[in-house]
Amino acid sequence: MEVRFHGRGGQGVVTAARLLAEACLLENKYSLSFPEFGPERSGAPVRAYVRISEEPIEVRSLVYDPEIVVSIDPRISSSTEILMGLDEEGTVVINSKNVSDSLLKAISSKPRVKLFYLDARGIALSLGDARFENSAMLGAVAKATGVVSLGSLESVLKTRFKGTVLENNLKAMQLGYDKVGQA
Amino acid sequence: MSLLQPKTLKPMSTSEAVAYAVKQTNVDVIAAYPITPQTIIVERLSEYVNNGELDAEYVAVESEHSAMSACVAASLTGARVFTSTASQGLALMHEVLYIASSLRCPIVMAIANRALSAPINIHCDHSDVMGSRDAGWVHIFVENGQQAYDRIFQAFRLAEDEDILLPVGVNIDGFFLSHAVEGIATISDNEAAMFLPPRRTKYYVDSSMPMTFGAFALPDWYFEIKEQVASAIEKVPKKLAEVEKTYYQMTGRMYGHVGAYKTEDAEVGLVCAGSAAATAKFAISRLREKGIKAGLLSIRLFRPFPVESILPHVKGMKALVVMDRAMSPGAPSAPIGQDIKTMLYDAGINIPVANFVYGLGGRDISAAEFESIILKMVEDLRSGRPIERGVRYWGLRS
Repeated sequence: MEVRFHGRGGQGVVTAARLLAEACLLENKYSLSFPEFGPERSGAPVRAYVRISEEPIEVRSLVYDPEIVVSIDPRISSSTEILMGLDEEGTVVINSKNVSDSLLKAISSKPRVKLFYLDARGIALSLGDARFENSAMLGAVAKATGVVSLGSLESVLKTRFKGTVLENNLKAMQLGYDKVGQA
Repeated sequence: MSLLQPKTLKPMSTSEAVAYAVKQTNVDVIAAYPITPQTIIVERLSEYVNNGELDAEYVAVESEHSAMSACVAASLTGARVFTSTASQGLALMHEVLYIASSLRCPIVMAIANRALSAPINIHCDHSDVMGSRDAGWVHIFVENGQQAYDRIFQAFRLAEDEDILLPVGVNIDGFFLSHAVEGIATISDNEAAMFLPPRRTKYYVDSSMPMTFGAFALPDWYFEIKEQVASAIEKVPKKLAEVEKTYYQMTGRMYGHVGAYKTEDAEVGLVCAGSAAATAKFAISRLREKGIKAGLLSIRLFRPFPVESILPHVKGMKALVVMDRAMSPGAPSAPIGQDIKTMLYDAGINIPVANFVYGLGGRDISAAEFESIILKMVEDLRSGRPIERGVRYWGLRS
């Protein structure tokens, strides 16, 4: 299983990929997460990848044919570029209030692809900080794809954060899980 | 090889795994230049020292030239010494690398392999270490974070052996490994201490027992001293095998000087080093499913070049493909290609060798590309087409 995250520097794209990989380890699956490689610059487009497998992972190249694509940035979410190489039966989870016509049109050539959307920014801002949107998106990924359980993601968050930051990230994740919708 | 359950593994980037291993070695001195092109490795180590988790002297120097100079001086006092660098940093250390090996300083250095300027790049290739390969250091390549973690302990034990006393570079592919997070099986602090007791050495800087280090040697003795470095490095394959055996008894993990996969009946062998070798292994398993007799030779010990470990795998092969992630402009082959061809010539084996330079400046290479490289060689052999000699470039934009 291969996952590609899209977003911008500063949105926690690399962290989201790492959290997903760590949660998979907790579920006794091998995982590998890595950024697409560059100096992290605030605002610049960033990609990060996760490989998940029942077997030890050999392949160290970038991900070209992901089964799951996640867009954490609302503007990138309307770009058809996120569909590049997507598996015919893949799943797309975007941070957006709605789904752009161009994305729907592009996806129509792959009828078995499932598209999910979540207003993760709205959730994050309701909790007081846009930086919670990656946690909301991880909650949405757990619900939409079943690749990992919400409980494992919560366990990983608890190893990294404390206090109100942890509470708000957990809330964002739960809201993302509850509110994600299928297009 | 024993496999641990993923849930028992600790998620770490390779850089974090290296830093954690170094902490467990109870290193005495770390001297590093903490600015680009540095990695998380020294950042973590500085935190360990600052938090009191590691009782070491952390020297934040003003350049890599100074970092290696400080490492040399510290090592001569009998201390256990570590540093880390990448690309330009290794280039700036260059003149001191030779001093470290000739003064027989068992420094261990993690090198996050990255391209050299110009153009400014920062991404993975092996240009940095290939530029330093004649400096008298032992060099090990790793394919994943687990190997990096394990090799740190082995590197210290090998380097500090009184029969060796040479610096060791542990080469981790920049970004592809340094920034990649995966589950790592760790050893306990107790196991680390058992495997790697405090360094003991006969000769060190001590005011109660004055000795000269770094003395002048003119044509009368210089040559002999340099030959001693070469003669010490020749002892590495045997010693590293012993070190690995002991480590294996503790962990169940062993890597060897060369990572051979499906070489027994292979017609075409692919030679590679670093993280791409892991991707190539997957490509070869797919080719095997299609009935293609291909095998992999991953160069894990690069200096000294493990001729005796490679040769038995090559006998019977009809051709080799050697993949180099560095150039040697103007040379008849790229660096690993040169070593492989020399090895074959000396052994009287005359088989075609296709030598490709790939992946410079972080350009990716996929499993599918490895498959097509090998398939092309198989087809050429079957059709009797001559194999192109000399260096070719893989993945170059036209």
